[in-house]
Amino acid sequence: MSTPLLQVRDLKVHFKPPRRGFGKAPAAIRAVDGVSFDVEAGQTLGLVGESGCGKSTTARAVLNLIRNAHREGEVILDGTQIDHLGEAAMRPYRAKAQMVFQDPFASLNPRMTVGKIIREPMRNFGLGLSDQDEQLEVIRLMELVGINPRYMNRYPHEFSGGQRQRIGIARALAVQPQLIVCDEAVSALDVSIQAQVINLLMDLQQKLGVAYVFISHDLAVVRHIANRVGVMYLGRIVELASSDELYRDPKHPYTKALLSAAPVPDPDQNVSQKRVKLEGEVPSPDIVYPGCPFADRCPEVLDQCHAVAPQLSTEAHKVSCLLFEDF
Amino acid sequence: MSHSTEPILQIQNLQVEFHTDSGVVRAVNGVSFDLYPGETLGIVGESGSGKSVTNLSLMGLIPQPPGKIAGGKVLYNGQNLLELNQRQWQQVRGKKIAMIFQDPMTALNPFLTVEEQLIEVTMLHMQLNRAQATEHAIEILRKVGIPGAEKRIRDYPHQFSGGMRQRVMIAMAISCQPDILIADEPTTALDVTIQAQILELMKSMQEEFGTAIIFITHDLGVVASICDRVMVMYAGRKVEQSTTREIFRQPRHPYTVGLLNSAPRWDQGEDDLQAIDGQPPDLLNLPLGCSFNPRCQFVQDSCLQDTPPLVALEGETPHQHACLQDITQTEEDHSS
Repeated sequence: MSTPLLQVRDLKVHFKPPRRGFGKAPAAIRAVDGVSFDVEAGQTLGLVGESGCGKSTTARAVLNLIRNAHREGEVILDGTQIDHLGEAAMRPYRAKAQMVFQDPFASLNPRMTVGKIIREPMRNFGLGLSDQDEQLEVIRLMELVGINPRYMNRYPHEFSGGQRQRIGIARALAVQPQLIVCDEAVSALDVSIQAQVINLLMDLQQKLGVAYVFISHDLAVVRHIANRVGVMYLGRIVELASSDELYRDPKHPYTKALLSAAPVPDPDQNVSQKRVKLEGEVPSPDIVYPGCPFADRCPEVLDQCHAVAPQLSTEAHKVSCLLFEDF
Repeated sequence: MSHSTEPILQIQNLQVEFHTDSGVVRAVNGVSFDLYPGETLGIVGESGSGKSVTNLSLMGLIPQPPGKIAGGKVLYNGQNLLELNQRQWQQVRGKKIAMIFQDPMTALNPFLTVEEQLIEVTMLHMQLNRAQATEHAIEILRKVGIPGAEKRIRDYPHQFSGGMRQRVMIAMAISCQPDILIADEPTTALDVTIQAQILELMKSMQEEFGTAIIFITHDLGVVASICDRVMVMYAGRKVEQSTTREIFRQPRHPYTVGLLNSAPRWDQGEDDLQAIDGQPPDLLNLPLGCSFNPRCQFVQDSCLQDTPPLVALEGETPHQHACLQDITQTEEDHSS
C-alpha cells in the first residue's frame, strides 16, 4: 500500500484556561489526548462521538488551525510534516487540504456574491488563472455541485440551506484539494436535503478522488459515507475499524452503548433492539485518568480498568479496551 | 389502534398566517387532527412545514401581529381555545397544556435559579405557598432524575449540562400534571446517549400521569421508538397520518416515502440514499395543485391542477393521505 495521504501520530491538544485571580492555575483541558489515524488518498475516514469528545478539535488540528494551545504529535500531509509550520509556510498546504463547515449560514460571507465566494480561494492561492479562465472555472464548479451557474451573481441569503452547503463545497474544491475536512457538514440540513448533499460528496469523491475526514455525531450518516470509522471518547479514539466491521461487530463497550442508543427508523427494530444503558454523562476533560477514561460509566468494567490505561490495538479492527488485551 | 375514549384535544381546520413585507405566508393551511389521552402523536416534516407553528397556536403563543389565526378551532373539553383572552389562557397554559422546547438554554431564564422558575408555575396554578412549592419542586426534580435535587434546585441554568437542563424543562412542564405535553424537538440538541435517557424519562412520566404527548421531530428514528401515531406535514398541510407502524410499512404519500428513503440507517449497509430532489417549498410561491409536485417522482398531470384532498381510508388501521395517485402499487414493484 502506498503512503497514506494524511498521517496523524499521537496528536494531543491541551487548552489552558486563563488563570482567574490568585488561585491555583486551572487544569488544562485535554481536548485531544493521543489520537492516531491514517487517511488514504480518495478514501473517507469518519470520526464520531458525542459533544466534547474532541472530534472538532482534531479536525482543526489536522488543518493546523489551532493556535494558543499546547500541542504534541505529528500531522503529516502528503509526506510533509505540517503541524509545526507557521502561517506563511503553511500556505501551499492549505490548497491541499480544505474544510467544509457545519453552518452554511455562518460560513459564507453575506456581502459577497456566490461567484466571488468560489473565486476567492483561486486568487488567494495564486492559481494564476486569467479572469476568463477563472470565470469558466467558477461555472464548472457550480455545475459540479449542482447549482445553476446563472445564479453566480446572487448572494448567499438567496439560497436555501442545502444549496448554501453546495456552495461551501464548491469553494473548498476551487483549489483542487486532495483532502477535505467536513465538520458536521450535513448536520444542519433537513433529512431529504441531507441525503442530497451526502450523495453529492460521494459522487465528487468518485469523480475527483478527493479524500474526506468526515466528522459527525450522526452514526447513520457516518456509516453511509465513510470507509473507515473512528469512535472518539474524551479526546481518544477508542475504536477504529472499517465501516462495515465497526457497525456489524462493535467491540468497545462505549461503541456498543452509542449504537444501541441511536434509534433506528423502524418501529419493529426498536422493540427488539437491546439497549445498553449508559448512566451519567461524559466527565470533564480536565482530569488525568490513570486507567481507562470510560471506566466509571462502563457496563463491562473490570477492576484493573481504573488503574491500567488501555492501548489502541494494532490489528485492522483497532480497539482500546482491556477486555481485548492479553495480560 | 382503536380509541375507545374521546379525544382530549381536537384541532379543526386550523389556519395560521404571517403577514410579511413580501406577502402573506400561510404557515398552517387547514390542519385538523385529534389527540387522545395517554398517546404520543408524532409530527414530522421539514423546516417550514408548519409543525412548530401548529403547536405554538395550541399554546396561544403565536405573536400577533405579524401572525394571525385566520380560522379553525382548537377544542379542549368542549371549549375553543382560540377564543380565549390572555387571562383565560393563563388558566390553561402550563396547567393543562405544557410545552418543552428544543433549546433549554434559551427557554430557561438565565437570571433565575431553577427553584424560582419551578415554583412560579405551582404557586400560580396549584395555589401552593412558597415552602410547599419548593418541596413539590424538589420532588419533581428527583422524579426526573436530577441527583442531589435539594442542593441543585438553588443552581442557575448555566450550572447544568445540556441533558440536565432538559430534565429541568421536563420537570417544569410536568409539575402541574398537565393533560397535554407538547414537545418541540426536545432531544435534537442532545447527544444520542443523553437522548435515550430523556426519551426513557418521557415515556415513564407518560405512564405515570397518563399525559398525551405531541412530539415534534424531524428524526424518524425517534418517531419509530416513541410515537404511537404519526402525522406528516408538508408546506403547511397535513399530507399523511396513521399509526407509526403503518406509516413505516405502507406509506401512501410520496413525500413520506421520500423521507423514509432518505434517512440513513446505522444498522444497514451500502444502500444508496434516495434523496428527495429539489428544494423545500417557498411558502410565498407555492406551485399550483399539490405543493409537493415539483419534487414528486409519481407526479401526473392532475397533480399540477388540483390540490389533493385528505382522504381517509377506513380499515383496521385508519390512514389518511393527501395524494391523487395510488403509489402503493408502484412501491411494491420497487421493493420486489
